[in-house]
Amino acid sequence: MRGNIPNNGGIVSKNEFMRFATYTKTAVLGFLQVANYRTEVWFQVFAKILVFAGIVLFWSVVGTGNTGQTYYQLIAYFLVANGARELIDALYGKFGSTIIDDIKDGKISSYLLQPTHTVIFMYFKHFGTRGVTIVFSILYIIVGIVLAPPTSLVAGLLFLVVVGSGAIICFSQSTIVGCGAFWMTEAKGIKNVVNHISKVFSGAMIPLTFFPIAYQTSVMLSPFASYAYLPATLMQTKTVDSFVFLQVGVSIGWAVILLFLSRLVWRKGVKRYEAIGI
Amino acid sequence: MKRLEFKKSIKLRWKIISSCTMFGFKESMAYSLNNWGNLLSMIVYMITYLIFLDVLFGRVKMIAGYGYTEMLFFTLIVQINYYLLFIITQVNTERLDTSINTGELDLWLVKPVPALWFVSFRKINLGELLFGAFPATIPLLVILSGKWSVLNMSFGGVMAGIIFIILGQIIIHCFVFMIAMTAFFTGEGKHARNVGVELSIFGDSIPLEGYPKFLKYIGLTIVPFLVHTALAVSFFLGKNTNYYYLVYVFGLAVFFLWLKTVAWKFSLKHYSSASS
Repeated sequence: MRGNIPNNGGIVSKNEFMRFATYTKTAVLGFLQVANYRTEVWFQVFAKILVFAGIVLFWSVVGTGNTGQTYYQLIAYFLVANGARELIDALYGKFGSTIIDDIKDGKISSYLLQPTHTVIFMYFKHFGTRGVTIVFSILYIIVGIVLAPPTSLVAGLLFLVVVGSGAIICFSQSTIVGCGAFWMTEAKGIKNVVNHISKVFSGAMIPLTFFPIAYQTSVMLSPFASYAYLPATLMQTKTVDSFVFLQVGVSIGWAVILLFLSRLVWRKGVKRYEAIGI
Repeated sequence: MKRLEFKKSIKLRWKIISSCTMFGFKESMAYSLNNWGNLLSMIVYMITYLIFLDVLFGRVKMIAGYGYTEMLFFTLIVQINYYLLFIITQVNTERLDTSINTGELDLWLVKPVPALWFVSFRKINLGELLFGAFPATIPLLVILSGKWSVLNMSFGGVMAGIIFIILGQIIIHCFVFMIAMTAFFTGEGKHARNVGVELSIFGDSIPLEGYPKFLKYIGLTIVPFLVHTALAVSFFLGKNTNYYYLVYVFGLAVFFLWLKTVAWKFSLKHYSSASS
């Protein structure tokens, strides 16, 4: 076993390797904790199906006559949009709640003492509990792709890029929002504000093409579009034009800016936390 | 003698509700900054929802036969019901699950109070009413204020609508509570409770007239998600005038109350404490 661990002269240092091993073990532990209650897993699956059934039912009542899409295309859009949103944890931004609870309950005191990157450790811990959700969201995306298969390979690759940048944006957003607990102890109200905005402006409730032309471009270039609208559109687009590249570029830009900002807010928050308690 | 005992029992139940409500209110006021956050959250939610409706009605004229103003009214009733459900049912089922999971329920069961009543109304969050429900409903009332004449409302319809909200809340409370009781058998009830909550709000985006027949049947019988909002609004707006529904829903409420009591007794028999 020891022979497998790279030494300090390698690309990955021994410390980094051990840290990563800790993260993965934490994630697995989180998954096992959830999977322990099997009935609960089935309830979780049922709840997911129920939420999506609600969306399908709603759009079957509203009708597709005014959307310029067939019923299957619209369902495929919502499958991919909600699948991607769920995959990157943007549905409820639960990582934000986890951070808030850990700060409120003082759990981060022990995390801070560990030789790990605290936020990444917390993320992996949270990631493990999302095992069922992740499997289900991938299933959503696969069914969406089967219903309306992508026609462009480039768009397919850009989809992966956007899911990646969306995940970073969501991670950063949750960290920034969660850090609110350093200042106000209970910050779930603020987290909900961001969630509500994200719900409408991500395109998960309604395709962003429904918005009036005057606001459409600004909504499409917002960070929230990377959660649902952009991945779903990339899976259905026939031509990858310059505007699509612009959207992907802006998404990556948002990811970099927000990641930097989240690091900054976390550091400020931790300093404040130390000043209060330990 | 029996009458006196009944009086005592009612007094005790009233005392439990009022004490729990006061305690819940004090508890919710502890984080004042977060309460303002919740207030802001609700205002933002309403704005985003109104944007959603505006954008939607920019493309379609009607949803299941309901125009824009009627959908605004539908949203108002959805909000009222959501908060009633949240304040009374969601909070208490969450507490019930936690208490089963941690064994705290043992302590509740030995208290000299009616256990099911106590568990059902352990916490009534008036803070949420103040910082969530009002900001969610007042903007809608303001928008609707100049549009009441567009709505086809009659005295009978309004009265029936109010009765359906009350009875519907009782029915859906019993239903969600029974689902939450699965925690007695599984040890953990978070996701079961989520299913209950999702089912209870399943009828909150489409009016009654938009549902296929089989879903309408299910929603008004075994999974009663259509009574408190969809059926109530249908009567409020005069889309439905079959007043036999009042008798039926009253019967349904009595049945679900009975079922909740039976399920509670059955669950308690299978309760193995986590703390002992």
